[in-house]
Amino acid sequence: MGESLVITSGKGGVGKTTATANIGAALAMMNQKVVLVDADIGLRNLDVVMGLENRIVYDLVDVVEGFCKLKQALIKDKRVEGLYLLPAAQTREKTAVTPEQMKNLVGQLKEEFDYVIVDCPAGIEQGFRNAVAGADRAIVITTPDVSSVRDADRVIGLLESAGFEGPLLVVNRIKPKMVDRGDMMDIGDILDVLAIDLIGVVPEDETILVSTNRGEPAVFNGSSRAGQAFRNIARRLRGEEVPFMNLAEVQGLWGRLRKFVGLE
Amino acid sequence: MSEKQDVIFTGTKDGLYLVLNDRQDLKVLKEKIKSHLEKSELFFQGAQVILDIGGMNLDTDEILDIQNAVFSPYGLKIKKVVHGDRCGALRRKAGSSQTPGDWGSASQIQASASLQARSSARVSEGYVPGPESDTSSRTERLMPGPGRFMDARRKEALYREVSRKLLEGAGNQSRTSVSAERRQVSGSELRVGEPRPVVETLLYRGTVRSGQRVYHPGNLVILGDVNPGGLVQAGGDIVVMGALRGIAHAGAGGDVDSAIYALKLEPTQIRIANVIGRPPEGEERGPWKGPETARLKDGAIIIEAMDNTK
Repeated sequence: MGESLVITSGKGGVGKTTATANIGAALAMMNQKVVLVDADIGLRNLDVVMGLENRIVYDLVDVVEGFCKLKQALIKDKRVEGLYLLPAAQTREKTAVTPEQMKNLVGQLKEEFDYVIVDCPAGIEQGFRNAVAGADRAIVITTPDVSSVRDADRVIGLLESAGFEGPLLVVNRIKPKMVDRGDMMDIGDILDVLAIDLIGVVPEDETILVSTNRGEPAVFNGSSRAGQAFRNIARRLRGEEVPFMNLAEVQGLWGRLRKFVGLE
Repeated sequence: MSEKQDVIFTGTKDGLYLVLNDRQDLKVLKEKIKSHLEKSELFFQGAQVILDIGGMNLDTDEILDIQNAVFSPYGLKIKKVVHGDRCGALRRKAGSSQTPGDWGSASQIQASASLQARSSARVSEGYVPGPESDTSSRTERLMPGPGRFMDARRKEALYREVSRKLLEGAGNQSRTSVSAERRQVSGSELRVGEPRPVVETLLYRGTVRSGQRVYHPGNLVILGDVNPGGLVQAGGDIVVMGALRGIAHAGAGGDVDSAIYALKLEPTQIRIANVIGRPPEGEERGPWKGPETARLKDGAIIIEAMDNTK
């Protein structure tokens, strides 16, 4: 019996889908059997980020409505063993599925897979309730800006009242230089407000944009710092103790030398 | 008019005007008001109620009971009790925007003119006489029990007393004008020292997050933070054993003596009774200065350090 996770944020555009793709792929690279469920019915794009768009035949709504078997709708990722995607329907709306149906579906998937990761749509309406319905644990994504933190706070409140114990926090797209200058909320400020456990900090990284456009999760790219951060999150989810990355950017030879002699 | 509605809520500039069907049982009425308030709890928050009991005869205990059992839990206060004529009230609602203080037909205004003179210009705050002849005859017809019938003058004194007590509880500014009346009724056989509403304190464990609201008619203690977008409301004082970053509303029922205490006071907004305050704009928040308290002074919210020894 596996575990189901929902990745949510309240606000849109903070990196839920990217995080779902990368954490899922990273777990699969650790020899886990993983299925990614796109719960963003009507605005699906997990398949695009995964580069699996052109292989969709059946989708989540087809499964729920009984047009196909669950196995038929699952798309296998060729790049890594044990990674599957259950795509959302694009021509339907969030109301096509009920929380009860989602609960059943995730329950069935949990019997087959080690990890069921649900990509939650933005907002707190039916789409959110659907995505959260079958999940055992929740990961809340935020970026270091006040509106995103505010929405994360709202979502944490909703998760707690839905009975989730200890949602986990990922701070995405942090720019260490801006934090140093005091232009960006730092991790401490965010944790002060949200007061939940931090499971990862992902730096702003151009390789994410490139990998999204190519449909190739950044965790497959060994030199991507964001990819490294997502791999660390996957290891922490597995219960490993992994120290947080040093986010300070590499300053070149002189910078390293100054650091070495203790000038900084 | 066909079937009479049992309770009718109308908003006026003086407050909430509540008309009760005087032919209905008091218990039923109380339940109906409760369920009505249940549905619109936030909407009526802190409102003052003008209770129109039509031809019913209620004694001090019964009215205080309505206040304590029905209105207090929703942060409402009875401002005054009137004997209105339901049909008249409805006509008025449909027609002009007259306030309940000056309602009625020409003959009724005449009847109340002398009373208005007696109790000065403040009459709208106290007891407003109804159409005496009509009411008492209806009362006799509806409530034939021997102890229930009162003559008009005694009834007037009684409601004056009730109104005074309720006003006292509300900390109303009309206290001075009422005190003159108090001497008039002090010699009467009315019982004084009614039980005051029980003020309970709620301990809320946990963080009040954005979109969440905690309300308690008594005092409220939050063992955690109140985040931006969160709302805590209490009829009495509010204590936040953490950071207050959202909105706190103390004295939601109109109690101007309520205060807000927080270990870290960085609110979006502070409300005490019906006064709203917000932190000065464009001012950088300095380092944490320790626990602070917010209270009303001369109609404005002031913030003070809680520790005076520093």
